[in-house]
Amino acid sequence: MDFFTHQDHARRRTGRLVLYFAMAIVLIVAVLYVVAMILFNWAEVSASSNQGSTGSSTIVFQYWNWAVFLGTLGLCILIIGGGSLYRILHLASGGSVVAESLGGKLLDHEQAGPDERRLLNVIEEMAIASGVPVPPVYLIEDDTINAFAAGYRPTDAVIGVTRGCVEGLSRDQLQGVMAHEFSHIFNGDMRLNIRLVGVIHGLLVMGVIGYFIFRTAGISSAGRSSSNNKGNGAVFIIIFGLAMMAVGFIGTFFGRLIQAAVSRQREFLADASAVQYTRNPDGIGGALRAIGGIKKKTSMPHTASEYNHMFFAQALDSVFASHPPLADRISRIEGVPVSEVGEAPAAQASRIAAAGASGFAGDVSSSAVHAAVENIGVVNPEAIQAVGHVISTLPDSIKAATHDPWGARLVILALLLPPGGTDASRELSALESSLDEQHMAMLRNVHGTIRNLHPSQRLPLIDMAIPALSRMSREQYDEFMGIVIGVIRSDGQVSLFEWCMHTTLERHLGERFQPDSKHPPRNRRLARSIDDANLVLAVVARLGSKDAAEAMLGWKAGVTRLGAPDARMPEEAQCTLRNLRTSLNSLQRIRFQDRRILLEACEATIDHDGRTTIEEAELLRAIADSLGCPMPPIIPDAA
Amino acid sequence: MQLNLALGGGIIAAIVIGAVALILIFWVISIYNKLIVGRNRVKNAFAQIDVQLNRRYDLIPNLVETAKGYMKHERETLEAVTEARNQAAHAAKAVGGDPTNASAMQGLIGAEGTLMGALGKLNVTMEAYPDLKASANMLQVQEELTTTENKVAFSRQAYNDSVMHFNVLRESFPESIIANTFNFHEAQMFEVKDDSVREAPKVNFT
Repeated sequence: MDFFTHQDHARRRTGRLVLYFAMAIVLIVAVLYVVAMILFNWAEVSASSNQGSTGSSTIVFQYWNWAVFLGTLGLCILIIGGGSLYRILHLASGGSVVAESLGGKLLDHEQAGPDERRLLNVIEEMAIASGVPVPPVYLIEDDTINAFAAGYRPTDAVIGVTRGCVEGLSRDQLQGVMAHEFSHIFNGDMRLNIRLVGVIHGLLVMGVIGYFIFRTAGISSAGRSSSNNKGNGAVFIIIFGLAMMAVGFIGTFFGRLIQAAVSRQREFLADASAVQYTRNPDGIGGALRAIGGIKKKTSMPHTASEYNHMFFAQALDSVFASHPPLADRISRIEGVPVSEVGEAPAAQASRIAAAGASGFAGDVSSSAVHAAVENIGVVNPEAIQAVGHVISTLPDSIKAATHDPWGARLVILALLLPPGGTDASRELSALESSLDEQHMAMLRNVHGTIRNLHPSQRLPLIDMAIPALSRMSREQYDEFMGIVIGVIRSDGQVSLFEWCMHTTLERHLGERFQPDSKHPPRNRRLARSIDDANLVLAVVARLGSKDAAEAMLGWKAGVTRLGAPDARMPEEAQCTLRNLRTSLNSLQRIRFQDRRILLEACEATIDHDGRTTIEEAELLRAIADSLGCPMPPIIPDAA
Repeated sequence: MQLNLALGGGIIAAIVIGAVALILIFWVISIYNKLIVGRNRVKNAFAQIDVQLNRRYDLIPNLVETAKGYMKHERETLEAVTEARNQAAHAAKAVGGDPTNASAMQGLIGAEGTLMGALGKLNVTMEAYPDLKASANMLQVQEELTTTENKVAFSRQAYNDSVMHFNVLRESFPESIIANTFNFHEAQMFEVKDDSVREAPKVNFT
């Protein structure tokens, strides 16, 4: 199963979950209604007997009473629905909320000790190698070895790690654990988990309220005789409360069982993915062994029990084991030959040779592009190595600058200035009006270093800068984007690179600063958005071609892959970057399987002339990124 | 018959009241969560400042040492800087990462003001020692200090933004009720008092 299938599956699965949940509510309403009706009839019986009915008139047992039904229905929906919705919304408000509720503290590059820095480097490498922005890392002061990934989508994911993990594992083992967590992010497990937690929470609330009613009604009616009406009323309430409690807790029990079973499956999958990503079973195997060897008890807050299934290993001893036994996990990892896990790696390895910064060639091979598209949502160990190599070639001052908000802005601005020896005076004068002297001086400094970097060195800088940039305040972000746009506009045209940069920034930072943005359901088929897809291909074709004829050929190649041979190529006037943005926005609705087709079509368009420039490749990456499909960096081959 | 209706009515009334109570509780909880998120943002933003401040406190002894070699007769000025730096570092620790601690924050702001004043005086004094100003060590220290100053200023701006958001949230109705019930104290802005402080030590790149 690949990334796209995973994403679609995760969404379908959660859809099914909602269905089961609705069925459970129906069942609960039915049960409570029956209880309520029994009580109701009992009340009638005792009332009529109190009124001293004359003899053996048949007692009519009411089966249906609208008031009772609506009351019960309303109550259930309110309590369970409300409880679940509340929990889901709370969890969906960002991974950082989860991390902080577990006692995590944001880990900063500057105050990181050597062990912490090693962790940050491992995470940075893996994120860049897989094409996602580097996630913020939270550190939990706990001696056990554990880690989790939280957040609703890959773009707002956070990673949490315990102190025991940071200090107790080797670099390889850390990489294995992080690969496991990244696979949770790519496999859509987090979304599933949040829904699960939410659903169970609703049932739990029902049980708790039932218990509450049971107790208070029980207490308040203590000492009253059961023969008068008021006492009867109290008894009814007690019994109803008991019913709610029973239903709620039983529901929670089964819910947790299901949650645990689902979770165990996902954990095995994540372990397998980790091996696939790192090509090193000893890494994660070693980490599991290290966990097995530690007998300490965790000191995490008891809220951790709710998030048990999100962790790497059992966080709290719970009857509902959300993780398979350690021994099973280790034997699966070490028993399975590496070549059987995931796709056959051998063929890919030869294509993505760790070439590093080899020369200043302006083209990339089509096989490199193809490999990148194939590796969407999968972490390739060669990519990790290549990225690690590239990062090591970066000057320390630039790396340090990307890790704090002030410097990160300057790095981005410097990247927007023309590279190499090209004249940057227009852009610089645009900047002079927005930045003060201090900034300008530092910017020239940074630009001096960055302008000489190879493109494969410049691009990871963007991914590295994102976490620091997201620490700005909303006002600072708005100001910064204003400056960015000012620089882009200063030369009167928007280059491809500028467009890609702006799209990336807006997508990844905009998410963090505008959390209220609605996310449309993603299950449309490509056929309904064919016009938008058509426009995307046309823009890609025109931007990568010298003349209209060539563009037509490229577009044709893409449209063929789309399976829409009768499409007409949009006019040149329509093929603007702005329309591209609009089309990509509406393509947010299509399901992931179709996004894959679209991306392959783009690849066909770019590749039709057998020549792919780095700019075309980056456009493809930006398009993939705005469709939520993280594409690994394209590593230029030698010559 | 009447009793049935009464009972039925009673149950319905109870449910309605229960429902209203539930809605209220959820609403209170959601506001409480918003306040928590806001306060955490403030704390995180303050942690950012803390990191940069500490970096500055670590750099200042270098500055003093480098200057000492050249400015043999300016003991007072140098000592004032060291003393101010120690006070500020101490004050930063006293805040303990809690920006709602009004007195500790005021202490830090005051100590920072004094430190900036002392540093300013030192810079003015250094004008009379061109050898010192041009020395490689001094240039390097000054450059690092400037960068750190810039980062302090930037993170302070972000912090003040988050403080404003949080305080506004805290004071608006109906959040204010819950904020006061659960002891969400006002966060303190990190305002720089001394005017001369606004300019970071100038570094000449020519």
